[in-house]
Amino acid sequence: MSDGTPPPSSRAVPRGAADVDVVIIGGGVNGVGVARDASMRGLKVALFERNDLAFGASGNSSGMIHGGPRYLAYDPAVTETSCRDSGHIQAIAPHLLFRIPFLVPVERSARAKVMLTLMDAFFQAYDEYQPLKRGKPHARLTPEELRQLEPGLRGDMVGGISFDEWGIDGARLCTANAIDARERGAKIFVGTTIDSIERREDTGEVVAVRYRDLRNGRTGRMTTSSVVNATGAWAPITASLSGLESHRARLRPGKGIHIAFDRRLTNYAIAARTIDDRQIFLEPWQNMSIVGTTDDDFYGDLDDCTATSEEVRYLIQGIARVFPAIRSSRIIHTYAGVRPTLFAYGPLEDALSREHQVIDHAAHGAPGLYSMIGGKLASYRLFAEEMADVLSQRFRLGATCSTHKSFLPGGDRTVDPFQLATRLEIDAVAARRIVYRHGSRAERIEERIHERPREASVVCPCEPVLEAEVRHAVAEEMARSVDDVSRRTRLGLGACGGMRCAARCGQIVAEERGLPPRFGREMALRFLVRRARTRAVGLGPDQARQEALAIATVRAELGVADLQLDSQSESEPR
Amino acid sequence: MSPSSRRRVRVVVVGSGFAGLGATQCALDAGAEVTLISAGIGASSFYAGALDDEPWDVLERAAATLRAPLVAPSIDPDMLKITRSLDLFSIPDEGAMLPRLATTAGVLRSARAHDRALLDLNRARGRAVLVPRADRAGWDADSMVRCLREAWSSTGEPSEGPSGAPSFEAVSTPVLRFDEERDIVDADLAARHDDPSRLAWLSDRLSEEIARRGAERVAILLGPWLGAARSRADELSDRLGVPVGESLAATAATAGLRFEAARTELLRTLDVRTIERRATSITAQAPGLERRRFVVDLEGAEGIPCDAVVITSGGLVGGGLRFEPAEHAAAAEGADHVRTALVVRPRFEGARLSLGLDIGPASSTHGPVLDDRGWPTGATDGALERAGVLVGDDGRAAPFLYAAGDLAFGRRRTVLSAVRSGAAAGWAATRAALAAVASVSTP
Repeated sequence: MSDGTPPPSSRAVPRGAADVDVVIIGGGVNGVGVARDASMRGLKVALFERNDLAFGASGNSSGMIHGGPRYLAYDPAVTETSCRDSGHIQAIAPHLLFRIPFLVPVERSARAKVMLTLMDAFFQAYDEYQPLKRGKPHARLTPEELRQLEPGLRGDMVGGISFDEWGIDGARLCTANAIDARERGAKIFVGTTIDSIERREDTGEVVAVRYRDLRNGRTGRMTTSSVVNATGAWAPITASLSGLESHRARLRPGKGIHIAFDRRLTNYAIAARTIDDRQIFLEPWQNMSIVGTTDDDFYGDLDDCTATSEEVRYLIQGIARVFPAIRSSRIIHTYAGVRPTLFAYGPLEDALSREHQVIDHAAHGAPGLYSMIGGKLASYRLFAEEMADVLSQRFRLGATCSTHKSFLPGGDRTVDPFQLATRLEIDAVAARRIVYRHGSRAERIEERIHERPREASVVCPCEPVLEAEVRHAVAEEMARSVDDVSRRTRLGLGACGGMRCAARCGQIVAEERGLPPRFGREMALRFLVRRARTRAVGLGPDQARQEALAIATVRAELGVADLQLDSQSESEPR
Repeated sequence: MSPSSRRRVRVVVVGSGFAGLGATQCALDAGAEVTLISAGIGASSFYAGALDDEPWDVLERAAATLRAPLVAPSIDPDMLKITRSLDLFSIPDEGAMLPRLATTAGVLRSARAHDRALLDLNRARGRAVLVPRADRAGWDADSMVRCLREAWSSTGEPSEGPSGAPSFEAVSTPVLRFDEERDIVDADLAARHDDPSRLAWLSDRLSEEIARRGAERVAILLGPWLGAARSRADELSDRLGVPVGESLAATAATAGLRFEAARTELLRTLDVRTIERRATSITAQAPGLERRRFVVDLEGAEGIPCDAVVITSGGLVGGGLRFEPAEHAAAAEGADHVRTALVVRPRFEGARLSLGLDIGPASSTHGPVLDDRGWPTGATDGALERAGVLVGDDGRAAPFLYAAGDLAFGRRRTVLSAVRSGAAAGWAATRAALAAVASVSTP
């Protein structure tokens, strides 16, 4: 929905005079979603991403396109749109989805019976929406049934509820959208920041953006009549680049952290409550388990947002009440993202609306500039559609949205992973993971291996990731560093934290990009130290030993003395 | 009283890694009767084959900043004696050019000394260094060659002439004999080369390659595969008449295996009683003329009375220190999860011993918080590297109680630093015990 005032100008904005029709800032799910939608409607699009695709909240979420049962009580519209769009995403990218059944145990207390009945009724209402996302209806379970399903459950329970959600790899979703947009003509610039949004002095209209490649310092200017600010939590900063006051794109930034464990600890996601009665969960996700999440106002550096040990402690304490084995489980990393929730002064973070909103800054004297505020992963496509509708109206295109009707790259047909494994003589798990991430595009990786059989070698043994996929990520998916490859392929996110693969991956990335090898070593080191920082907040006694060994290993093999973590910018040759 | 009528002082050394060996030898030299207690080697068996005093990366960075040449700094005589006694290392003299080693990640690094199996690229100056391709995870000869070429050129040394840069080249000489060798770990492949016939096979393959090249001067760089019981690199070099050696891989554990073998051999020749058990606690005894000061209690055996103790049971890697993060305390319902690797139990007043985890400035009331300090960055040490017991210069943690190696707080976690701190603690512990015995015996 649009801010509304004043009504959009009645005259159509001419196309063709500028380099592109629209510049989108932000490579999160909303930005790439708009880039895809606008490209499909025939607009000339350029997208700039300061860090990497899915660098912020999109790649650091719980990894679910859930229907948001949490919002049902006070924001049923969010639940409905989330469920409907969850269904659309399943239809266009079936390879990226996996089912996550939830269990919600109810602890014995004076109000427990009433609570369980209320929940039963509540999920009865949620069942109404389940068909929209092909979910199963809920079930009411006895304590015995709960324990049978998840033997690790502990505590005095009166019963519980099960319901159904869908998991997704947010980074893959972003990558798929970005690739599709690019194949439809959009220009995508990753690692490139916008320095300023230029406007006409008289009318205030947007005329151009100035950009700078953060890794080699190269700058440029691109003319455009429209700019979409899809930078999530960065939105106020981005808006201020046009000379507007930052509060014109105001939001309430909410930090959420997640903890990843070395394996799938449970088959079902388990909901639990924190000491301050917030709902959190332990969720099986891809090949690990994830605990999430927190929701706290955040005013720190958005480019460097990490979980703290206090946050880890708080979540573990909550989960341990229903699933005590979590204490002895092994944390392999943590991650954090900042939600761009709609601004409201007063409510607790959890009670903030997950609605989304397009702000037309014409109201603030900046015609052609729009900010996308709020939203959630599950409804990104709808949000992008609303934004593209505004652009469509602006250019008098008359084209309607079809992003829910055409497949995302790789979603068009299925590839049998076992046959792929046989054809390539690779491990079946590796083949299965390639098919999950790339759908039918797995065949492009297969082609690479047919041409150069040596690329079938395993780079990351934990995930596992093959050399061909690493090269594919650099050549076809805009990855420029080990971090980027890791986001696209999950390389180095397994139990060893990249100890066995980062250096090798750095060599490959440097080679693919035509950089001298020392850049490969440097990006590998950066990756290793960043991973270590996200681990350090959740180290157990035995892991501390392993961590000390990891430090010794990295020192012996790569050396850390010349590593300056904060000097990423302007380090690469132009 | 004459010295001969005094009873011999007994020093117990806990731990038999680099620091423990240093302490053992110096305590013996100082005249103690030494008992060595060890349940196995920790961090020392994970060393990668390079011996540093200061960390190599810090040293190289300093040299680059000062534009100073990388020459071998002086080495303490005790340190030299101990490392030589292992008969494992190549140790250049003070002032000589520092050895240059290649890592499998394609990094060129210097070292003060190194396992003789590793190829010092200084020996390959003016030669073509051949790196055989092998279809093994983590081994990419082409990529290594590319990285090493660049690394050498960035040293700024002359590239031409007999003392010029080695040239690096990937070659297709077979080095794996059987298909399954693509998947076995480095240490297993290394152990296969302990078999003379297998080594001969490898030698034949390499000699074919050398013959193919005619008069060209070459050297051969392999993975960490040249022997687990001892280095087979010298033997290969002799057979082929060219320098042959390993590259350094920190996760390979091959060099660690060779260290363990050398240590076992060394202990056999020393006059030391070795007990392969875990030390569980150290108990102070009431002072008395004939009574030893401590008993080192063992797991499953009678304790060892002694006059002084040197503990070298390792830092976090070796297992001598246990890290108890606040996360665990917060999540646990009871307190039974708190375990300590080594307990020092003072039984008498005045014997206040302070052993345990001390992580210095990173401590909070709940324990160390590692959020930003766990790992080193740049020239700053990480908190996990610095965990340890507070000791004096000679390793003294409490009267007659010494700590050395990674267990001691504030030390660089390098092999030579461990040897040196072990040696210092061995001397100091023995001298202190001798002095105490002398003062008690003197009327």
